[in-house]
Amino acid sequence: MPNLYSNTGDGRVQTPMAPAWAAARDATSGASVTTSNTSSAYFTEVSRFGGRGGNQYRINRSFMYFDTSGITGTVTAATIKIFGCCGPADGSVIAVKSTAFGGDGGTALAASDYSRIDGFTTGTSLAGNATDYSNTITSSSWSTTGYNDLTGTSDLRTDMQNDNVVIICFMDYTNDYLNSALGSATTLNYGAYYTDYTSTSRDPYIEYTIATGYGDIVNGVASANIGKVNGVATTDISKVNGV
Amino acid sequence: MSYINKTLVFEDDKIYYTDEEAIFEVMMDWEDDIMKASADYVCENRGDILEIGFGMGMSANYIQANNINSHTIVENHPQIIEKLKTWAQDEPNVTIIEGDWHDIKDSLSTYDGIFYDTWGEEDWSRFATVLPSLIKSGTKVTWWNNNIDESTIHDIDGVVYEAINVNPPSNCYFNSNIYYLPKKQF
Repeated sequence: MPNLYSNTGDGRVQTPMAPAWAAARDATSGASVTTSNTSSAYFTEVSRFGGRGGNQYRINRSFMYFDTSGITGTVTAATIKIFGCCGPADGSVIAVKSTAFGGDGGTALAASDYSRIDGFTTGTSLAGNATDYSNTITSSSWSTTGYNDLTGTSDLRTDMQNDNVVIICFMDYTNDYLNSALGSATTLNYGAYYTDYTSTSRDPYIEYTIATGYGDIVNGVASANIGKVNGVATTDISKVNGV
Repeated sequence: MSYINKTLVFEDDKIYYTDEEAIFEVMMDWEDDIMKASADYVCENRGDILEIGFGMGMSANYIQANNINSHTIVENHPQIIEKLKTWAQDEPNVTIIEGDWHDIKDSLSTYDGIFYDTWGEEDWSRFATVLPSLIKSGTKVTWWNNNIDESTIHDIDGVVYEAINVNPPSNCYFNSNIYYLPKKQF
């Protein structure tokens, strides 16, 4: 199975301290961008601090893009692989479609990318609004010493085969994605490595599978030269001649 | 990790701690005008003053300058407690109570002035709940107010506000150019 590694421009956008949950979660822009860290404890994060005179909230989201222009054929399976780190791993994560990096990977990650999530809606859950690219991982299921597998959805597979770039936002699922304000002072976070790690042994990547057989349209080949056609669904056959 | 377990850094112009990738300022010297105004307000009755949270000691110095009878200070952070003990050596009317103010609230008395300024509270609603047990008729109370208008997070009625112009550098808790000092007289 081929692997597709994240671009080195991957990174993390962090909100400023905000006095209310909505001010952090629904912010249009972050306060800081980090693209040079090899790893971070705040790959995804939601925090509520009982700071000076009141509560304060902070959120981190991570963004990656993958050059999928070389993928031809039908992607039948995809798994996003993220190497975890930095306990205590009490957060959660889901991968969703993003329009960060200028929407095409041509622009460096910016603070304003914080809210560039396909279907993002302020004040409400992203369930049914965002385009999910993975299942969720919650609580202690996150490994801090090895790769974590996020199973790619059909939307991810389709975009991998149809688009030249796939851009992903990794966000806390339980509170950020579902827009559930933290009820007490806490930090819920997952740590992970980014592509800036010294080798690829901990880099984020997508492991995917291409359908065997002909995945593309083939023109100009005489029928006499086609011995077999595999993997063509009957619903995709409009005519059968000479049978 | 709770606030009292954080290792604080003391510099001339601020107290702060770091949380792996972020700096949390606990108190900064740009607050001087606010601390003076807060101290002067709660000392208008003179008498017995309760200060919850010592911080950099700015307000404590201003309270001491107001010719009061007694000054009770509650502090919970171990490093600040040590600073407080050193400071109080020359202040004979100061009583130090160590611990979370809510945990020791039953050991407190009633006061003529109360200044509440803490960090890291789990439940900010507790102050308004406990306050009636700490006041006398006429007690003047103020607290640190993060709201950038004439409002407060505390469920306390009849508060009036004094606008104070400030110029804070970027920090994690207050970034407006006007501080609304809450004033409540019972």
